[in-house]
Amino acid sequence: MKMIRLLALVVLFAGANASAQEMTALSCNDFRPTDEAIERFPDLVGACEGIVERNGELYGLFTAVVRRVMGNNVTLYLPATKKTFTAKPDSSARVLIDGRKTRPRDLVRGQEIRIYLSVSEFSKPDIQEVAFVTEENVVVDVTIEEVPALPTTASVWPSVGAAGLLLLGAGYLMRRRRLGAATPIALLIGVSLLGAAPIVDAESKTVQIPGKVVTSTVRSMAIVEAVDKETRELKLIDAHGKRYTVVASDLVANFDQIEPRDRIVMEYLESVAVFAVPAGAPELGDTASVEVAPLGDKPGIKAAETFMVKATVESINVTDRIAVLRGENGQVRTVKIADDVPLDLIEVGDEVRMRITQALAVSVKKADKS
Amino acid sequence: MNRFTVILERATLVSGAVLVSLAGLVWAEGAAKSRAAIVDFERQQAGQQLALSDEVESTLAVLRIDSVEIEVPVFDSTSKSALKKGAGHVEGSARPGGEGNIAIAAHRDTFFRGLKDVEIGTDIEMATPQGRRVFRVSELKIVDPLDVSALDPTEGTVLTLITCYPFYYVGPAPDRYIVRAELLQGN
Repeated sequence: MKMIRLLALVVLFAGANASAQEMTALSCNDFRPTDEAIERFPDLVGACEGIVERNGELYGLFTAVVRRVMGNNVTLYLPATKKTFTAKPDSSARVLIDGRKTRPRDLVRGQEIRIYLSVSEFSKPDIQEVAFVTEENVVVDVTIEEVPALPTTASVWPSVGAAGLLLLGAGYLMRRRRLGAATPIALLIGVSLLGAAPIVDAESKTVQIPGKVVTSTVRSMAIVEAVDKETRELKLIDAHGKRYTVVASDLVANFDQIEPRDRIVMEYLESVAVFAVPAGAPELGDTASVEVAPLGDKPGIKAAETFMVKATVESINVTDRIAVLRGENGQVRTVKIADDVPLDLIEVGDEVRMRITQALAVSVKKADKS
Repeated sequence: MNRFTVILERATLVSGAVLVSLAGLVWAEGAAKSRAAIVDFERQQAGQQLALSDEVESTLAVLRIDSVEIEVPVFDSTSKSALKKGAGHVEGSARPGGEGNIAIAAHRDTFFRGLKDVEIGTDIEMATPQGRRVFRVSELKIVDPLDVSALDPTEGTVLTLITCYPFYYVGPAPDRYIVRAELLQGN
Protein backbone atom coordinates (compact mmCIF):
# COMPACT_ATOMS: atom_id res chain seq x y z
CA MET A 1 0.00 0.00 0.00
CA LYS A 2 1.16 3.40 -0.75
CA MET A 3 0.78 6.50 1.25
CA ILE A 4 0.09 9.72 -0.55
CA ARG A 5 -0.65 13.10 0.86
CA LEU A 6 -3.80 14.67 -0.45
CA LEU A 7 -3.63 18.38 -0.04
CA ALA A 8 -6.48 20.78 0.31
CA LEU A 9 -6.30 21.32 -3.44
CA VAL A 10 -7.87 17.94 -3.88
CA VAL A 11 -11.60 18.24 -3.52
CA LEU A 12 -13.35 15.32 -1.98
CA PHE A 13 -17.05 14.90 -2.22
CA ALA A 14 -19.25 12.19 -1.01
CA GLY A 15 -20.50 10.51 -4.13
CA ALA A 16 -24.16 10.99 -3.62
CA ASN A 17 -23.80 14.63 -2.80
CA ALA A 18 -21.77 16.00 -5.62
CA SER A 19 -24.10 18.83 -6.34
CA ALA A 20 -24.27 21.14 -9.35
CA GLN A 21 -21.91 19.05 -11.42
CA GLU A 22 -22.37 18.15 -15.02
CA MET A 23 -20.63 15.46 -17.00
CA THR A 24 -19.10 16.91 -20.14
CA ALA A 25 -18.55 15.32 -23.52
CA LEU A 26 -14.85 15.46 -22.91
CA SER A 27 -12.87 12.35 -22.16
CA CYS A 28 -10.07 11.84 -19.68
CA ASN A 29 -7.99 10.95 -22.72
CA ASP A 30 -8.32 14.53 -23.87
CA PHE A 31 -6.03 15.54 -21.03
CA ARG A 32 -2.75 14.32 -19.72
CA PRO A 33 -1.58 14.77 -16.14
CA THR A 34 1.14 17.24 -15.42
CA ASP A 35 4.43 16.08 -13.99
CA GLU A 36 3.35 17.55 -10.69
CA ALA A 37 0.15 15.52 -10.73
CA ILE A 38 2.02 12.34 -11.57
CA GLU A 39 4.45 12.98 -8.76
CA ARG A 40 1.82 13.83 -6.19
CA PHE A 41 -0.97 11.42 -7.16
CA PRO A 42 0.69 8.47 -8.89
CA ASP A 43 -2.08 6.10 -7.87
CA LEU A 44 -4.75 8.19 -9.53
CA VAL A 45 -3.09 7.99 -12.94
CA GLY A 46 -5.32 5.93 -15.20
CA ALA A 47 -8.25 6.00 -12.80
CA CYS A 48 -9.98 9.03 -14.24
CA GLU A 49 -13.55 8.23 -15.17
CA GLY A 50 -14.65 11.42 -16.84
CA ILE A 51 -14.50 15.17 -17.02
CA VAL A 52 -17.18 17.06 -15.17
CA GLU A 53 -17.93 20.73 -14.96
CA ARG A 54 -18.68 22.32 -11.64
CA ASN A 55 -19.26 26.02 -11.25
CA GLY A 56 -17.63 26.65 -14.60
CA GLU A 57 -14.49 24.70 -13.70
CA LEU A 58 -13.46 21.36 -15.20
CA TYR A 59 -12.54 18.48 -12.93
CA GLY A 60 -11.27 15.00 -13.51
CA LEU A 61 -13.56 12.53 -11.74
CA PHE A 62 -12.20 9.60 -9.77
CA THR A 63 -14.29 7.09 -7.82
CA ALA A 64 -12.89 5.35 -4.75
CA VAL A 65 -14.19 3.07 -1.99
CA VAL A 66 -13.12 3.51 1.61
CA ARG A 67 -11.34 0.37 2.84
CA ARG A 68 -10.03 1.50 6.18
CA VAL A 69 -9.64 4.62 8.31
CA MET A 70 -6.93 4.92 10.92
CA GLY A 71 -6.63 8.39 12.35
CA ASN A 72 -6.00 10.68 9.43
CA ASN A 73 -4.86 7.81 7.21
CA VAL A 74 -7.56 6.75 4.77
CA THR A 75 -7.09 3.62 2.67
CA LEU A 76 -8.94 3.83 -0.62
CA TYR A 77 -9.68 1.30 -3.33
CA LEU A 78 -9.91 2.49 -6.97
CA PRO A 79 -12.24 0.20 -8.92
CA ALA A 80 -11.06 1.66 -12.23
CA THR A 81 -7.50 0.45 -11.71
CA LYS A 82 -8.11 -2.06 -8.93
CA LYS A 83 -5.44 -0.32 -6.92
CA THR A 84 -5.47 0.27 -3.22
CA PHE A 85 -3.61 3.14 -1.67
CA THR A 86 -3.49 5.07 1.55
CA ALA A 87 -3.96 8.79 1.62
CA LYS A 88 -3.19 11.14 4.45
CA PRO A 89 -5.28 14.22 3.82
CA ASP A 90 -4.19 17.48 5.33
CA SER A 91 -5.72 18.00 8.73
CA SER A 92 -7.67 20.94 7.35
CA ALA A 93 -9.20 18.87 4.53
CA ARG A 94 -12.88 18.09 4.75
CA VAL A 95 -15.16 15.67 3.03
CA LEU A 96 -18.66 16.63 2.04
CA ILE A 97 -21.19 14.06 3.17
CA ASP A 98 -24.82 14.93 2.57
CA GLY A 99 -23.74 18.53 2.18
CA ARG A 100 -22.00 18.63 5.51
CA LYS A 101 -18.28 19.08 5.96
CA THR A 102 -16.83 16.03 7.60
CA ARG A 103 -13.30 15.23 8.66
CA PRO A 104 -11.66 12.39 6.71
CA ARG A 105 -11.17 10.44 9.93
CA ASP A 106 -14.97 10.20 10.18
CA LEU A 107 -15.29 8.26 6.92
CA VAL A 108 -16.46 4.68 7.35
CA ARG A 109 -15.52 1.50 5.56
CA GLY A 110 -17.53 0.80 2.42
CA GLN A 111 -18.35 4.40 1.64
CA GLU A 112 -17.97 5.33 -2.00
CA ILE A 113 -16.42 8.70 -2.52
CA ARG A 114 -15.59 10.75 -5.54
CA ILE A 115 -12.38 12.65 -5.94
CA TYR A 116 -12.26 15.69 -8.16
CA LEU A 117 -8.94 16.95 -9.43
CA SER A 118 -8.90 20.36 -11.01
CA VAL A 119 -8.11 19.96 -14.69
CA SER A 120 -6.56 23.39 -14.93
CA GLU A 121 -4.14 22.63 -12.12
CA PHE A 122 -3.23 19.03 -12.62
CA SER A 123 -3.51 18.35 -16.31
CA LYS A 124 -3.00 19.82 -19.73
CA PRO A 125 -5.09 19.26 -22.82
CA ASP A 126 -3.60 16.35 -24.71
CA ILE A 127 -2.45 18.23 -27.76
CA GLN A 128 0.69 16.75 -29.14
CA GLU A 129 0.93 18.56 -32.41
CA VAL A 130 0.83 22.09 -31.22
CA ALA A 131 3.79 24.21 -32.12
CA PHE A 132 3.32 27.49 -30.40
CA VAL A 133 4.63 30.56 -32.04
CA THR A 134 7.13 28.80 -34.18
CA GLU A 135 8.80 31.75 -35.70
CA GLU A 136 11.06 31.20 -38.60
CA ASN A 137 12.58 33.30 -41.24
CA VAL A 138 11.34 32.40 -44.63
CA VAL A 139 12.70 34.13 -47.63
CA VAL A 140 9.81 35.65 -49.47
CA ASP A 141 10.48 36.37 -53.09
CA VAL A 142 9.24 39.84 -53.72
CA THR A 143 8.73 40.98 -57.23
CA ILE A 144 9.85 44.55 -57.28
CA GLU A 145 7.64 46.31 -59.71
CA GLU A 146 9.36 48.71 -61.99
CA VAL A 147 7.98 52.14 -61.35
CA PRO A 148 7.68 54.09 -64.56
CA ALA A 149 9.77 57.21 -64.33
CA LEU A 150 11.43 59.68 -66.58
CA PRO A 151 15.15 59.04 -67.14
CA THR A 152 17.65 60.35 -64.68
CA THR A 153 20.07 62.66 -66.39
CA ALA A 154 23.01 63.45 -64.20
CA SER A 155 26.48 62.05 -63.68
CA VAL A 156 28.79 62.13 -60.74
CA TRP A 157 31.78 63.62 -62.54
CA PRO A 158 30.78 67.28 -62.39
CA SER A 159 30.47 66.85 -58.63
CA VAL A 160 33.91 65.29 -58.55
CA GLY A 161 35.25 68.26 -60.47
CA ALA A 162 33.53 70.69 -58.11
CA ALA A 163 34.96 68.88 -55.10
CA GLY A 164 38.40 69.06 -56.69
CA LEU A 165 38.05 72.80 -57.19
CA LEU A 166 37.02 73.21 -53.58
CA LEU A 167 40.10 71.32 -52.47
CA LEU A 168 42.30 73.43 -54.70
CA GLY A 169 40.75 76.55 -53.25
CA ALA A 170 41.25 75.29 -49.71
CA GLY A 171 44.84 74.34 -50.47
CA TYR A 172 45.45 77.74 -51.97
CA LEU A 173 44.06 79.49 -48.88
CA MET A 174 46.26 77.38 -46.60
CA ARG A 175 49.27 78.23 -48.70
CA ARG A 176 48.38 81.89 -48.69
CA ARG A 177 48.00 81.87 -44.92
CA ARG A 178 51.29 80.07 -44.45
CA LEU A 179 53.27 82.32 -46.72
CA GLY A 180 51.41 85.46 -45.79
CA ALA A 181 51.20 86.40 -49.44
CA ALA A 182 48.04 86.77 -51.39
CA THR A 183 47.49 85.70 -54.94
CA PRO A 184 43.98 87.02 -55.45
CA ILE A 185 43.98 86.35 -59.17
CA ALA A 186 44.44 82.61 -58.64
CA LEU A 187 41.74 82.63 -56.00
CA LEU A 188 39.35 84.43 -58.30
CA ILE A 189 40.04 81.91 -61.04
CA GLY A 190 39.28 79.10 -58.64
CA VAL A 191 36.05 80.68 -57.50
CA SER A 192 34.91 81.49 -61.00
CA LEU A 193 35.64 77.95 -62.11
CA LEU A 194 33.70 76.68 -59.16
CA GLY A 195 30.77 78.87 -60.08
CA ALA A 196 30.81 77.61 -63.61
CA ALA A 197 31.15 74.00 -62.60
CA PRO A 198 27.84 72.28 -62.87
CA ILE A 199 26.43 71.08 -59.59
CA VAL A 200 24.85 67.76 -60.17
CA ASP A 201 22.73 65.41 -58.25
CA ALA A 202 23.55 61.87 -57.38
CA GLU A 203 21.92 59.29 -59.51
CA SER A 204 18.63 58.23 -58.06
CA LYS A 205 17.40 54.71 -58.34
CA THR A 206 13.91 53.69 -59.02
CA VAL A 207 13.94 50.78 -56.63
CA GLN A 208 16.77 50.46 -54.18
CA ILE A 209 15.99 47.77 -51.67
CA PRO A 210 15.01 44.30 -52.63
CA GLY A 211 12.47 43.31 -50.11
CA LYS A 212 11.63 40.36 -48.00
CA VAL A 213 11.98 39.78 -44.38
CA VAL A 214 10.26 37.52 -42.01
CA THR A 215 7.54 35.02 -41.91
CA SER A 216 6.11 33.92 -38.64
CA THR A 217 3.82 31.01 -38.20
CA VAL A 218 1.62 30.35 -35.25
CA ARG A 219 0.01 26.95 -35.12
CA SER A 220 -2.36 26.11 -32.39
CA MET A 221 -4.87 23.45 -31.65
CA ALA A 222 -7.93 23.36 -29.48
CA ILE A 223 -10.26 20.64 -28.33
CA VAL A 224 -13.94 21.02 -29.05
CA GLU A 225 -15.75 20.81 -25.75
CA ALA A 226 -19.25 21.45 -27.03
CA VAL A 227 -20.98 22.34 -30.27
CA ASP A 228 -24.17 24.34 -30.56
CA LYS A 229 -25.56 23.57 -33.98
CA GLU A 230 -28.18 26.29 -33.70
CA THR A 231 -25.94 29.21 -32.88
CA ARG A 232 -22.84 27.69 -34.52
CA GLU A 233 -21.00 28.22 -31.28
CA LEU A 234 -17.96 26.13 -30.51
CA LYS A 235 -16.71 25.82 -26.95
CA LEU A 236 -12.99 25.20 -27.16
CA ILE A 237 -10.15 24.42 -24.78
CA ASP A 238 -6.76 25.53 -25.96
CA ALA A 239 -3.43 23.95 -25.20
CA HIS A 240 -3.08 26.01 -22.06
CA GLY A 241 -6.39 24.73 -20.77
CA LYS A 242 -8.03 28.07 -21.41
CA ARG A 243 -11.67 27.75 -22.38
CA TYR A 244 -13.26 30.04 -24.86
CA THR A 245 -16.16 30.19 -27.26
CA VAL A 246 -16.04 31.02 -30.95
CA VAL A 247 -18.79 31.36 -33.49
CA ALA A 248 -18.08 29.66 -36.77
CA SER A 249 -18.94 31.88 -39.68
CA ASP A 250 -20.88 30.65 -42.66
CA LEU A 251 -17.55 30.23 -44.45
CA VAL A 252 -16.81 27.19 -42.29
CA ALA A 253 -18.34 24.60 -44.51
CA ASN A 254 -19.64 21.31 -43.17
CA PHE A 255 -20.00 22.75 -39.71
CA ASP A 256 -22.39 19.93 -38.86
CA GLN A 257 -19.53 17.46 -38.94
CA ILE A 258 -17.80 19.08 -35.99
CA GLU A 259 -18.34 17.09 -32.82
CA PRO A 260 -17.16 17.31 -29.22
CA ARG A 261 -13.59 16.12 -28.71
CA ASP A 262 -12.63 17.02 -32.28
CA ARG A 263 -9.40 18.96 -32.60
CA ILE A 264 -9.54 22.31 -34.30
CA VAL A 265 -6.21 23.14 -35.90
CA MET A 266 -5.55 26.78 -36.61
CA GLU A 267 -2.51 27.96 -38.47
CA TYR A 268 -1.82 31.63 -38.69
CA LEU A 269 0.88 32.83 -41.00
CA GLU A 270 2.12 36.32 -41.42
CA SER A 271 4.83 37.36 -43.79
CA VAL A 272 6.21 40.83 -44.02
CA ALA A 273 8.03 41.91 -47.12
CA VAL A 274 9.80 45.22 -46.94
CA PHE A 275 11.07 47.19 -49.87
CA ALA A 276 11.72 50.78 -50.68
CA VAL A 277 10.08 52.66 -53.47
CA PRO A 278 10.25 56.29 -54.46
CA ALA A 279 7.88 58.58 -52.66
CA GLY A 280 4.62 58.87 -54.49
CA ALA A 281 5.00 55.56 -56.28
CA PRO A 282 1.74 53.87 -57.20
CA GLU A 283 0.22 51.64 -54.58
CA LEU A 284 0.31 47.93 -55.08
CA GLY A 285 -3.13 46.48 -54.83
CA ASP A 286 -4.50 44.68 -51.82
CA THR A 287 -5.75 41.17 -52.38
CA ALA A 288 -7.78 38.70 -50.46
CA SER A 289 -8.78 35.13 -51.04
CA VAL A 290 -10.88 32.59 -49.21
CA GLU A 291 -11.03 28.86 -49.72
CA VAL A 292 -13.55 26.64 -48.01
CA ALA A 293 -13.78 22.90 -47.81
CA PRO A 294 -15.84 21.21 -50.51
CA LEU A 295 -19.13 19.78 -49.39
CA GLY A 296 -18.62 16.40 -47.80
CA ASP A 297 -15.03 17.07 -46.84
CA LYS A 298 -13.94 17.84 -43.35
CA PRO A 299 -14.74 21.37 -42.33
CA GLY A 300 -12.07 23.87 -42.98
CA ILE A 301 -11.35 27.33 -44.18
CA LYS A 302 -8.34 29.10 -45.58
CA ALA A 303 -8.28 32.83 -45.83
CA ALA A 304 -5.41 34.97 -47.03
CA GLU A 305 -5.09 38.68 -47.26
CA THR A 306 -2.29 40.80 -48.63
CA PHE A 307 -2.11 44.49 -48.07
CA MET A 308 0.40 47.28 -48.39
CA VAL A 309 1.33 49.78 -45.73
CA LYS A 310 3.82 52.61 -45.82
CA ALA A 311 6.42 52.80 -43.09
CA THR A 312 9.53 54.68 -42.11
CA VAL A 313 12.71 53.02 -40.91
CA GLU A 314 13.08 54.09 -37.28
CA SER A 315 16.21 52.20 -36.42
CA ILE A 316 18.39 49.39 -37.64
CA ASN A 317 20.27 46.88 -35.52
CA VAL A 318 23.03 45.86 -37.90
CA THR A 319 24.35 43.13 -35.64
CA ASP A 320 21.08 41.29 -35.30
CA ARG A 321 19.70 42.49 -38.66
CA ILE A 322 16.61 43.86 -37.03
CA ALA A 323 14.78 46.92 -38.34
CA VAL A 324 12.14 48.88 -36.49
CA LEU A 325 9.52 50.32 -38.82
CA ARG A 326 6.83 52.84 -38.00
CA GLY A 327 3.71 52.72 -40.09
CA GLU A 328 1.60 55.65 -41.16
CA ASN A 329 -0.79 54.94 -38.33
CA GLY A 330 2.05 55.10 -35.82
CA GLN A 331 2.16 51.38 -35.28
CA VAL A 332 5.67 50.12 -34.72
CA ARG A 333 6.68 46.79 -36.16
CA THR A 334 9.98 45.02 -35.69
CA VAL A 335 11.13 42.89 -38.57
CA LYS A 336 14.14 40.73 -39.16
CA ILE A 337 16.01 41.51 -42.33
CA ALA A 338 16.91 38.53 -44.45
CA ASP A 339 20.59 37.72 -44.69
CA ASP A 340 20.71 38.39 -48.39
CA VAL A 341 19.44 41.94 -48.16
CA PRO A 342 22.41 44.34 -48.16
CA LEU A 343 22.11 46.50 -45.08
CA ASP A 344 23.93 49.41 -46.68
CA LEU A 345 20.88 49.96 -48.85
CA ILE A 346 18.68 50.70 -45.86
CA GLU A 347 19.04 53.85 -43.85
CA VAL A 348 17.18 55.29 -40.94
CA GLY A 349 14.51 57.60 -42.26
CA ASP A 350 13.99 55.69 -45.50
CA GLU A 351 10.41 55.32 -46.55
CA VAL A 352 9.62 51.72 -47.24
CA ARG A 353 6.56 49.76 -48.06
CA MET A 354 5.57 46.69 -46.16
CA ARG A 355 3.62 44.07 -48.00
CA ILE A 356 1.98 42.02 -45.31
CA THR A 357 0.41 38.71 -46.06
CA GLN A 358 -1.76 37.19 -43.40
CA ALA A 359 -3.25 33.77 -43.80
CA LEU A 360 -5.44 31.74 -41.52
CA ALA A 361 -6.10 28.09 -42.08
CA VAL A 362 -8.56 26.22 -39.93
CA SER A 363 -9.05 22.48 -40.16
CA VAL A 364 -10.74 19.89 -38.04
CA LYS A 365 -9.35 16.54 -36.97
CA LYS A 366 -11.81 13.98 -35.83
CA ALA A 367 -11.57 12.72 -32.28
CA ASP A 368 -10.07 9.35 -31.46
CA LYS A 369 -12.61 6.71 -30.63
CA SER A 370 -11.08 6.09 -27.18
CA MET B 1 53.08 72.10 -36.55
CA ASN B 2 54.38 74.07 -39.51
CA ARG B 3 55.50 70.84 -41.14
CA PHE B 4 52.06 69.31 -40.66
CA THR B 5 50.44 72.39 -42.19
CA VAL B 6 52.68 72.11 -45.22
CA ILE B 7 51.85 68.41 -45.64
CA LEU B 8 48.12 69.08 -45.30
CA GLU B 9 48.30 71.97 -47.74
CA ARG B 10 50.11 69.91 -50.35
CA ALA B 11 47.82 66.92 -49.87
CA THR B 12 44.80 69.16 -50.34
CA LEU B 13 46.23 70.72 -53.48
CA VAL B 14 47.23 67.36 -54.94
CA SER B 15 43.83 65.81 -54.15
CA GLY B 16 42.05 68.75 -55.70
CA ALA B 17 44.21 68.61 -58.77
CA VAL B 18 43.62 64.87 -59.16
CA LEU B 19 39.85 65.22 -58.84
CA VAL B 20 39.72 68.14 -61.25
CA SER B 21 41.90 66.23 -63.69
CA LEU B 22 39.73 63.13 -63.48
CA ALA B 23 36.55 65.13 -64.04
CA GLY B 24 38.22 66.97 -66.88
CA LEU B 25 39.37 63.75 -68.50
CA VAL B 26 35.91 62.25 -68.31
CA TRP B 27 34.41 65.41 -69.74
CA ALA B 28 37.01 65.53 -72.49
CA GLU B 29 36.46 61.85 -73.29
CA GLY B 30 32.71 62.40 -73.52
CA ALA B 31 33.15 65.44 -75.71
CA ALA B 32 35.60 63.62 -77.96
CA LYS B 33 33.34 60.59 -78.33
CA SER B 34 30.39 62.83 -78.97
CA ARG B 35 32.28 64.64 -81.69
CA ALA B 36 33.47 61.35 -83.19
CA ALA B 37 29.93 59.99 -83.22
CA ILE B 38 28.67 63.08 -85.01
CA VAL B 39 31.43 62.81 -87.59
CA ASP B 40 30.70 59.13 -88.11
CA PHE B 41 27.04 59.88 -88.50
CA GLU B 42 27.67 62.61 -91.05
CA ARG B 43 30.00 60.38 -93.02
CA GLN B 44 27.37 57.69 -92.98
CA GLN B 45 24.85 60.19 -94.25
CA ALA B 46 27.25 61.14 -97.00
CA GLY B 47 27.63 57.51 -97.95
CA GLN B 48 31.23 57.29 -96.78
CA GLN B 49 32.74 54.43 -94.91
CA LEU B 50 32.57 54.77 -91.18
CA ALA B 51 35.70 55.62 -89.29
CA LEU B 52 37.04 52.92 -87.07
CA SER B 53 35.38 53.41 -83.76
CA ASP B 54 35.00 51.51 -80.56
CA GLU B 55 31.52 52.87 -80.12
CA VAL B 56 29.04 50.25 -79.05
CA GLU B 57 25.91 52.31 -79.23
CA SER B 58 24.80 53.20 -82.71
CA THR B 59 24.08 56.83 -83.47
CA LEU B 60 20.42 57.20 -84.31
CA ALA B 61 20.45 60.90 -85.05
CA VAL B 62 22.17 64.20 -84.43
CA LEU B 63 20.28 66.90 -82.58
CA ARG B 64 21.09 70.58 -83.08
CA ILE B 65 19.73 73.69 -81.44
CA ASP B 66 21.82 76.49 -82.88
CA SER B 67 20.42 79.24 -80.67
CA VAL B 68 21.75 77.57 -77.52
CA GLU B 69 24.76 75.88 -79.11
CA ILE B 70 23.59 72.32 -78.64
CA GLU B 71 24.92 69.68 -81.02
CA VAL B 72 24.67 66.17 -79.72
CA PRO B 73 24.50 62.65 -81.10
CA VAL B 74 21.51 60.57 -80.08
CA PHE B 75 22.27 57.01 -79.04
CA ASP B 76 19.93 54.09 -78.75
CA SER B 77 19.62 54.02 -74.96
CA THR B 78 19.73 56.17 -71.88
CA SER B 79 22.44 54.04 -70.26
CA LYS B 80 25.26 55.68 -68.33
CA SER B 81 27.75 55.08 -71.10
CA ALA B 82 25.42 56.52 -73.70
CA LEU B 83 24.59 59.64 -71.70
CA LYS B 84 28.30 60.20 -71.01
CA LYS B 85 28.93 60.95 -74.66
CA GLY B 86 25.61 62.24 -75.90
CA ALA B 87 21.85 62.05 -75.66
CA GLY B 88 19.81 58.87 -75.39
CA HIS B 89 16.65 57.74 -77.06
CA VAL B 90 14.09 56.82 -74.39
CA GLU B 91 13.09 53.22 -74.79
CA GLY B 92 9.48 52.75 -75.81
CA SER B 93 9.10 56.08 -77.51
CA ALA B 94 9.05 56.65 -81.28
CA ARG B 95 12.37 56.34 -83.11
CA PRO B 96 14.02 59.59 -84.20
CA GLY B 97 13.11 58.95 -87.84
CA GLY B 98 9.67 57.60 -87.07
CA GLU B 99 6.26 58.97 -86.28
CA GLY B 100 4.83 59.69 -82.88
CA ASN B 101 6.36 60.95 -79.66
CA ILE B 102 10.16 60.92 -79.99
CA ALA B 103 11.65 61.19 -76.49
CA ILE B 104 15.32 62.03 -75.97
CA ALA B 105 17.15 62.55 -72.69
CA ALA B 106 20.58 63.92 -71.82
CA HIS B 107 22.55 65.26 -68.88
CA ARG B 108 21.53 68.71 -67.70
CA ASP B 109 25.13 69.44 -66.72
CA THR B 110 26.65 68.67 -70.10
CA PHE B 111 24.86 68.24 -73.41
CA PHE B 112 21.44 69.54 -72.41
CA ARG B 113 22.63 72.40 -70.20
CA GLY B 114 21.58 74.75 -72.99
CA LEU B 115 17.95 73.69 -72.67
CA LYS B 116 17.61 76.21 -69.84
CA ASP B 117 17.80 78.98 -72.46
CA VAL B 118 15.42 77.43 -74.97
CA GLU B 119 12.24 79.43 -75.52
CA ILE B 120 8.89 78.78 -77.12
CA GLY B 121 9.40 79.07 -80.86
CA THR B 122 13.02 77.87 -80.85
CA ASP B 123 13.78 75.59 -83.77
CA ILE B 124 15.36 72.19 -83.24
CA GLU B 125 17.00 70.33 -86.07
CA MET B 126 17.30 66.59 -86.04
CA ALA B 127 19.31 64.75 -88.68
CA THR B 128 18.32 61.12 -89.06
CA PRO B 129 19.13 58.42 -91.60
CA GLN B 130 15.63 59.08 -92.97
CA GLY B 131 16.35 62.75 -93.51
CA ARG B 132 16.45 66.13 -91.86
CA ARG B 133 13.61 67.21 -89.61
CA VAL B 134 12.89 70.52 -88.00
CA PHE B 135 10.82 70.88 -84.87
CA ARG B 136 9.60 74.06 -83.20
CA VAL B 137 9.37 74.31 -79.42
CA SER B 138 5.75 74.56 -78.36
CA GLU B 139 5.82 73.82 -74.66
CA LEU B 140 8.21 74.00 -71.71
CA LYS B 141 7.26 72.41 -68.42
CA ILE B 142 8.61 70.99 -65.19
CA VAL B 143 7.22 67.67 -64.01
CA ASP B 144 7.72 65.09 -61.31
CA PRO B 145 10.00 62.21 -62.37
CA LEU B 146 7.11 59.81 -61.88
CA ASP B 147 4.86 61.82 -64.15
CA VAL B 148 5.47 59.89 -67.33
CA SER B 149 2.71 61.55 -69.28
CA ALA B 150 5.39 63.27 -71.35
CA LEU B 151 6.12 59.85 -72.84
CA ASP B 152 2.53 59.17 -73.83
CA PRO B 153 2.02 58.37 -77.51
CA THR B 154 0.86 61.28 -79.64
CA GLU B 155 -1.17 61.42 -82.82
CA GLY B 156 1.26 63.66 -84.65
CA THR B 157 5.03 63.56 -84.61
CA VAL B 158 6.53 65.53 -81.73
CA LEU B 159 9.94 65.74 -80.11
CA THR B 160 10.21 65.53 -76.33
CA LEU B 161 13.53 66.49 -74.74
CA ILE B 162 14.04 65.49 -71.10
CA THR B 163 16.64 66.54 -68.57
CA CYS B 164 16.86 66.99 -64.81
CA TYR B 165 15.64 70.15 -63.14
CA PRO B 166 16.70 72.50 -61.56
CA PHE B 167 19.72 72.96 -63.78
CA TYR B 168 21.80 74.11 -60.80
CA TYR B 169 21.11 71.98 -57.80
CA VAL B 170 23.12 70.29 -55.09
CA GLY B 171 21.96 66.76 -54.51
CA PRO B 172 19.37 64.72 -56.37
CA ALA B 173 17.42 67.04 -58.61
CA PRO B 174 13.77 66.48 -57.73
CA ASP B 175 12.12 67.32 -61.06
CA ARG B 176 12.42 66.89 -64.77
CA TYR B 177 12.49 69.61 -67.41
CA ILE B 178 10.45 68.85 -70.50
CA VAL B 179 10.83 70.57 -73.86
CA ARG B 180 8.05 69.66 -76.28
CA ALA B 181 8.45 70.57 -79.96
CA GLU B 182 6.10 70.07 -82.91
CA LEU B 183 7.27 68.81 -86.29
CA LEU B 184 7.72 71.77 -88.65
CA GLN B 185 9.59 70.33 -91.62
CA GLY B 186 10.43 66.86 -92.82
CA ASN B 187 8.53 63.63 -92.76
